[in-house]
Amino acid sequence: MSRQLEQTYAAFMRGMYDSVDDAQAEKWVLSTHKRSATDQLSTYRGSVHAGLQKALADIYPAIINGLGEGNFRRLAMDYVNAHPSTSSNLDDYGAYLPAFINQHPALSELAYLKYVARLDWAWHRAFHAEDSAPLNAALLAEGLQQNMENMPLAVAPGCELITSDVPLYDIWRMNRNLIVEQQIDLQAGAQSCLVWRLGFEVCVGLADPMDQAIYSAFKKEARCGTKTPELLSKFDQEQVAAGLVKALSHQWLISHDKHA
Amino acid sequence: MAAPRHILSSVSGAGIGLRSAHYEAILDEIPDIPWLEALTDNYLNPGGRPLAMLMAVREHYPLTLHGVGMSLGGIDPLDASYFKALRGLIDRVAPVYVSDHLCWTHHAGVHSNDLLPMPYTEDALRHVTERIRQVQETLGREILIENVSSYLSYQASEMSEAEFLAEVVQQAGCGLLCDVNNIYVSAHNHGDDPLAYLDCLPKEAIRELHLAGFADQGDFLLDTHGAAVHEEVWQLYQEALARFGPVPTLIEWDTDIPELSVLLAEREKAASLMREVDEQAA
Repeated sequence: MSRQLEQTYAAFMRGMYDSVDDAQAEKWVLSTHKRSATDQLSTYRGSVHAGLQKALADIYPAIINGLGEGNFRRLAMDYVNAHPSTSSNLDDYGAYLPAFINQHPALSELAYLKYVARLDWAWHRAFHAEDSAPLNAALLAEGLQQNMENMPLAVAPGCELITSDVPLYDIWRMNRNLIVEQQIDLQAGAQSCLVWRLGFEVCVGLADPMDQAIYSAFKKEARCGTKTPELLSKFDQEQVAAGLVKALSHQWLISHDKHA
Repeated sequence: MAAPRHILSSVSGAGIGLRSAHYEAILDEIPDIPWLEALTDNYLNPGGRPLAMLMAVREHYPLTLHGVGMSLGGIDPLDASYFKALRGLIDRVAPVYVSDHLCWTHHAGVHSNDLLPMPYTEDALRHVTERIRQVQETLGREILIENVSSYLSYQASEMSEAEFLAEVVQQAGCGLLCDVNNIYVSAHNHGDDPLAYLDCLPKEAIRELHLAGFADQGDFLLDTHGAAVHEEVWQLYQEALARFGPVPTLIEWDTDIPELSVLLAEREKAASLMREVDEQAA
């Protein structure tokens, strides 16, 4: 492979994310009577940007609703310029949008928006996450009675806890059109959310302190007995048992123990 | 996992591209379609509804896999994680054909997620031929390569796209997916003769034809896959059938996706033209 091919690709790819070198295109693109070298290159730049902006729009519907389509388009353009794609898989694109929103000068007044973006992103990742087999209810009951201590537990693939200091659950649901539009009091207090998949349906729910403690305890797989002292230091035994049953039955907590 | 019902070495007739907007309609109605083509890159994630829908469709129809992520013409090393996921998908789906494009998509770790044209030089020919051989070895099977629509020509090119494509196919020992719409769009954009393009292609390597719609942007045509097949492309398709015979043909529609019935009508039109060629040959 020649140096010329490498230089051509490097120049082409620079042109996909920046128009500053467009005049240089005359050196390697063949102009025609209908279209200049710059025009030809800009067709590709337009296509690349449109594809990435569409990927963002597909992943962040609540942000589109929150900002309006015109503002979202401007945000997406800024993001694409700042964060070129680094993966063949378009489902990987847009991971940094919540942080980008947090640092965007024009959005500094909308402090809640970064959390909404994190929730949209978590929803997207859960949708594409690895499938996990639910624990059979009868085995679960048996396991809880007999062998809970040794049961290996882990948060399900794609399950994510989004903590926030705003009424995130209400804001997000309103912007995903899941509840009738209403006035939301941004000072109403913090809400944290759990995102997980039940079968092929992505679920978003309020995460109470028990849920959050279980999530933290089993973010990495662990035998139940190794984590119960930590949970029992904050909650009583009845609360812990009820919390684990709820998490297992909602399927955001899973067990890989075939004998459980 | 149960073995798929359809394990075939070839497909025939006119198929359609499988799109998520049509999962329910296809699984509810099981329309009379000889085969479907799935977009590889939509099913490389480890789980979720799209993959489950694909496997459900797989129970009823032969499938082919058509991708955009191999970057066969690229310089970056082949993406091992991409090919690992692709091998896993191939094992599950047992597709009749696996195809991608004669193009590159990323360079130095920066991705376009688009199909970028190659310069048609001897150097690029050696490079892409070797990459295709490598991919076929990795996957343990023949792949098909498709000609892309293009909006740019390189000063460095030493041969026509059709000559380049024919050489690649011959030297790499791969199959050819001939996109008739792409030939029309590129020929229009570069002032080339689409019939001369068809004449240049190695008939024996052509496994599949693609048809789709484009958008007229005034001073160039844009391959949008967002409209019905244009009349000029149907005419070129007939020329392709006359040269290559009734090669399996696919209707692609990726943006502004209409009701399934619209695709089925387009499919029927392609099937009807294929039957005419068959009858003439008989």
